[in-house]
Amino acid sequence: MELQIDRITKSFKDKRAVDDVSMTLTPGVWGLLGANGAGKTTLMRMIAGIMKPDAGQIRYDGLPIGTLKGRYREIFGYLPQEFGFYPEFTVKDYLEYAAALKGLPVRDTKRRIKELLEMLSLSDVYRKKIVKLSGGMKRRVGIAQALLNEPELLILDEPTSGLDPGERVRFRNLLSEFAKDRIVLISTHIVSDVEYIATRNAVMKDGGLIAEGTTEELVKLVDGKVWQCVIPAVWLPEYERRLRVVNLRNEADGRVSVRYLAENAEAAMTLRKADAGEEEDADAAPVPAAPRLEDLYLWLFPQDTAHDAAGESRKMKTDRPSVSGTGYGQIPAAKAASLEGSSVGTTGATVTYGQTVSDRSEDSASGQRKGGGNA
Amino acid sequence: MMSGGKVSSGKVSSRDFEKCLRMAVKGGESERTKRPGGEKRGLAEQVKPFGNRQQEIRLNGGKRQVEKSMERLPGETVRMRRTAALTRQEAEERFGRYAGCSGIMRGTGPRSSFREFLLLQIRFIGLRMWAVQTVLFTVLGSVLWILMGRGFWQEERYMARFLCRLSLAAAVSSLPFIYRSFRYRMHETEASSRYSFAGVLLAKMLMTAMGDAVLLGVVFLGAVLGTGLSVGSTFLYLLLPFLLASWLGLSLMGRIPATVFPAACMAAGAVLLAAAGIAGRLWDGFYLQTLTPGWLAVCALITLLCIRQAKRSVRDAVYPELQIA
Repeated sequence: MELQIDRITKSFKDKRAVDDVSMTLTPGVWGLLGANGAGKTTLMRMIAGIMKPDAGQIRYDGLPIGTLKGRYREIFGYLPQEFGFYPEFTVKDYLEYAAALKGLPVRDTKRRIKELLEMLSLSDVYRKKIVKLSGGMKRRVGIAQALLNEPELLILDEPTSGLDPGERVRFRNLLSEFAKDRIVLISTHIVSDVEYIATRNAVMKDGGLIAEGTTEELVKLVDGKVWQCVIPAVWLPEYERRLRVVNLRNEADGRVSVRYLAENAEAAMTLRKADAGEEEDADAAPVPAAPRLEDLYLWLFPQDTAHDAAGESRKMKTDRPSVSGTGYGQIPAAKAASLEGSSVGTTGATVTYGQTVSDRSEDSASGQRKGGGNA
Repeated sequence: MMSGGKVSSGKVSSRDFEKCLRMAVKGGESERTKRPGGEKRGLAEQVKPFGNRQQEIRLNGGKRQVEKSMERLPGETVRMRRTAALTRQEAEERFGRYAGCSGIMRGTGPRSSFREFLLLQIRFIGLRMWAVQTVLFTVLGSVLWILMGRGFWQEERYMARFLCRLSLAAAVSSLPFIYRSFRYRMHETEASSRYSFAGVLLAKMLMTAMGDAVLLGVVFLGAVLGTGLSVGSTFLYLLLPFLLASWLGLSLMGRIPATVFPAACMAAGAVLLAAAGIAGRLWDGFYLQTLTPGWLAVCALITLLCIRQAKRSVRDAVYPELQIA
């Protein structure tokens, strides 16, 4: 089982949405990362066969998908970015309609729908109208639709947007299990969704594929570029202005633990010396930190870092009571959790502010890009 | 590809290799694909019949022969081994490709037919559309009955005018149902389904046509039996405006953004209505026509245009991006 994407190109008017992308998908979970407008959705639509490439070819097991037609569509499931449904549809109607679209026989339809409703905890809302469901539930209905025909190739465009942390974890586990002998391609802004489960990741930027590999391989690209230090809160604005800060955490003594990206420690050292003046602070010396996929993402998309860092800063200043003169202070974990919404609890560990900021940088990135926003 | 050198051990020659490769790549009958009784075995056993079965059986045998030849090469030169490895790789690649094809060609279990799909569409789309149309025309008929009285139905000129407008309304009210999936963002899900967007669009068109045919049929019978209008005139004033409105609507499909399609259909209906009104004022005999060979030819021509437009829409709808415009 193999899906070959061979030099695919797609343009819209004067914009090249996908530019000469080649990759070969094999069974496992594939994460497709990239900022908004990177071309992920266009690429997925072409893989789903609902958009025609201007150049290049997509082949499944060596055969062009254009020649396989219905047979190809029989073996894949697709969850579009925008979940659509007819307003009069209940969950039951929607899934039965989707089953009819996929050509499932009636006797199989009922069995399969029952399985999926239980798997995705939708049994209670089976007869409810979709329009009355919450965003997360609607998303789960969409996921159920994609899984209806037990596809060999599953294409999910931002499947976890709107899911709460518990649902995200369950969904990730479900996908991991499902992908044992199938190809699962997930497009997402939420790096943690693919960090733990993706067999391989591909990163898109401006329509092109700029990196591909396992999480471990990709993370090596930012090895030695991730730093952390603990600084007095008054230094923070300068750090935010001059460095790519990816994470902040308030320490008990009023200082701030900063995680940032830099080519080397020199820049941060210079900054530290300038700010510290005569005073020397051992904790303020930057030390290398273990890189994560999120760091790579933010390294590759620096505009997101700057944007998010500013957003974080603004949000912190707005939402949190000012304790010290800097405007930064401590907040209880529960409050942090409520502020961060869905980004907490993916690990099931106790919430710390550092975690929430880290997680939120993913969510806020997607939210802001969608025009919604946490900023 | 091949070294062309003679093999010193005499176990296998380059010619044998070429033969094996040919069999793997192009196909060749193998003894090992058949059991003594002539029964086939190997991978071919697992593969349900499809168009290239014979080719697959040959490939299966070809690959085994290559493997067998490889096993007989313990004392060969480095060059020969390299060639053997390349041959094996190429044969396996090609074989794997065709074997992989067989997986998808086997299909993924039983699937419902288009007829069954169409019947299900009645439940999901047809009933709602027909209910809306029935309510719309029942209300329209009742209002006219109350306002105009019994005399209205006996006056040939009024009746022709009424049928013309009703026919336009029938076409205009049903067309937006075809494009409903764009309005509610279902088109991507529908397009990625087994029948693709073209199949779904075709099903919706058939559904619409069925509904309109029943509706116009009932009106036709009612008009013929209960009014003073002749059969020919009733047929003409019901069919011609309907065909014209349908042709305009189908022509708009895929040429304008889906979001404005319902409004555009309404606008097209309004234009036709206005045109009929103006024609009625300018030409006294406009509402006194009957079905002549000339009008029949016009109806046939517009029917052909409608079919052409419908075919175009279905053909283009393979990739719904063309419909999104």
